[in-house]
Amino acid sequence: MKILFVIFFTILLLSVKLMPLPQCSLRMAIQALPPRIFQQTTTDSSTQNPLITRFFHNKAGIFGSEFGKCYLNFFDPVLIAKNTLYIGLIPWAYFIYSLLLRKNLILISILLILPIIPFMEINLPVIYLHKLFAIIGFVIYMKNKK
Amino acid sequence: MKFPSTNFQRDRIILILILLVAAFLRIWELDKYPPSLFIDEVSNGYNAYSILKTGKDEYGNFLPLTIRAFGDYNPALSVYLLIPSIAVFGLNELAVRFPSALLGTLTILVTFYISLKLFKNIAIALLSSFLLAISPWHLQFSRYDHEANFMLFFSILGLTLFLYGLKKHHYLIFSAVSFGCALNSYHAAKIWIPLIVVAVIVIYIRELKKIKRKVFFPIAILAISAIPIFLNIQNSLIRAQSVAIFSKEKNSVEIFLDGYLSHFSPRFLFIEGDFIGRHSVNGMGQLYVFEAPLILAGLMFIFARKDKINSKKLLLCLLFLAPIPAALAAPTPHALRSINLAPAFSILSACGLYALVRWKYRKSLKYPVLFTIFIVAAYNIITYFHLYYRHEPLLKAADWTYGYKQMIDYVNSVKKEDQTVAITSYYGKPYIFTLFFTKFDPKTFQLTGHNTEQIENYEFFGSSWRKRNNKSAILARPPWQIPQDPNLKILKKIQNSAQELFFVITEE
Repeated sequence: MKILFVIFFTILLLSVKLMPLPQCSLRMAIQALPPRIFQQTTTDSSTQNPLITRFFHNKAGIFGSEFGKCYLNFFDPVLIAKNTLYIGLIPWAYFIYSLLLRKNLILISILLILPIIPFMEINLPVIYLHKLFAIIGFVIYMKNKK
Repeated sequence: MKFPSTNFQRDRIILILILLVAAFLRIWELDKYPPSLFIDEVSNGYNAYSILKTGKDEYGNFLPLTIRAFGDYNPALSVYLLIPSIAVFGLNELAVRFPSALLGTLTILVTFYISLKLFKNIAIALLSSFLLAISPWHLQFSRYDHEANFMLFFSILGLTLFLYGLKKHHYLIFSAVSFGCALNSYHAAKIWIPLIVVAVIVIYIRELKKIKRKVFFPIAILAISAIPIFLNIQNSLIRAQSVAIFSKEKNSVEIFLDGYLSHFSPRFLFIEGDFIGRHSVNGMGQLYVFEAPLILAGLMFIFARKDKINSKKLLLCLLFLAPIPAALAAPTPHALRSINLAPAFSILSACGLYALVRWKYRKSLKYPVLFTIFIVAAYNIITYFHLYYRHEPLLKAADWTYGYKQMIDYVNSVKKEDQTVAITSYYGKPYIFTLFFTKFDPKTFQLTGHNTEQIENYEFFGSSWRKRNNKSAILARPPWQIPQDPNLKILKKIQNSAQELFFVITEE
């Protein structure tokens, strides 16, 4: 019976149309640097000590912000919900919870590295992994359920 | 309320320091940052002034239970709370914002007590209050007169008093009064308060059953506090009809779910914030970046604990119920309507930081992680204050309807007696700014029958203004409404320090 539920859930999730990640890459992050630097340093005004301007507004910080946007797109709950038919969001969260509870550092590290793949413009459909995580989470839940 | 601590003196001093920091961050230069009063603040301020002077609002309603503002009907409590401040400070920016700043500071104290009650841990309580004291989300709205901040204070106070009231039953009465005040402070409270009250009743049903008789009076108080809403139900629904998703959209359930989930989007929380200009700082999220791993650690800390089941449930209810009022309306995510998330995230971050500091495994990893978090936190916090005090007044001046005060002050200083002053309505409702910044007598304005087209010598126009006599008049218009006339006498240009032009004042 549990197996039937898992199969049904898997078919349901695989039938959901994929919502792709927003366009966001290393190239775009680098392109965003000059206008953002210009905007922020101009706002700071020319009378401010250049060291202070550099401290607050620098390429590292802006690149970090752009990278953060791209990286966190992968973990956007709306994106995950749309790719797992909303109901898959709970088993997805359960999968992450199980990983953290078991302190499975290797899998956690792989999970944290995954968003870097689309950022580096490597053509791998990592977005499908949300469906896989939801299915695995559902399987773990059904296995733990007495 | 007891203060359980191994080092009472030290912890009390730390709490006082946190409150002083919170008060300073919320009150320092309150009249200058944000750069000007927003139209809603001006409206609230003038209505409070009008009630103070005449007992009636700008429309002539005596001690109204709801305040009419530009076609909407808002709960009145936040306006009444401005009255003492305006009586003391006069009708100005400080007076309008001070109550919100004060209640924002008191929210820090209440968050301390609710964290202490939930986890019986002084370190978590102090960390929660500190993180909320410096929270960008909470600071943004503590320095802004908005009903949501009042709702947050009263609802957190209500929850805290409820928790203490389970042992000292008379606190339940004060809890009900607080929830009642929250209910009458902001539209979103009509959804939020019933949700959270039902949640606490369900979570603490065993404890409440033991004190059955003592619960009836607080419930009665709560029911009575809902009367103003029911008395003005049609007016109260006007705002809901304009923003609610279920009245307008076909796929409203999907929109609701997307809106709800967007409040947990890492981009909203840590990178970009709310896209409405007044709700966040450019280049930052609603929370600090360093709080991301802390919140994750906090969730693990809570789920790993086998004790304090009710405390865990209450914190998770706070977290997962708070975005519901915001998700029922558009646009989303909405930092103001989901402001109840701010203390929930502060408490979670505090739990996470506490868990990391107490981490016993892999000590070789623990200290580098904590050091990295500390460095990132220090940079993050300093950058936030730089962006808030340096960049926001320049970048967001238009969002805060900058320019009216400077324009009206200048016009009043140069205009001759009986000279007409014509002000554009391009930036919205110039009449209320004129009433506020000229401290116009409310009784005189009420006698005009709420004429918003003209107030004595002040006239308000749309795209163009026509002179009615041969006398000279002063006009205040945005730069694109200025005619190309070399003979035009420009008296002054109102612009901010970024040279952004808001009004051109001419004499014609």
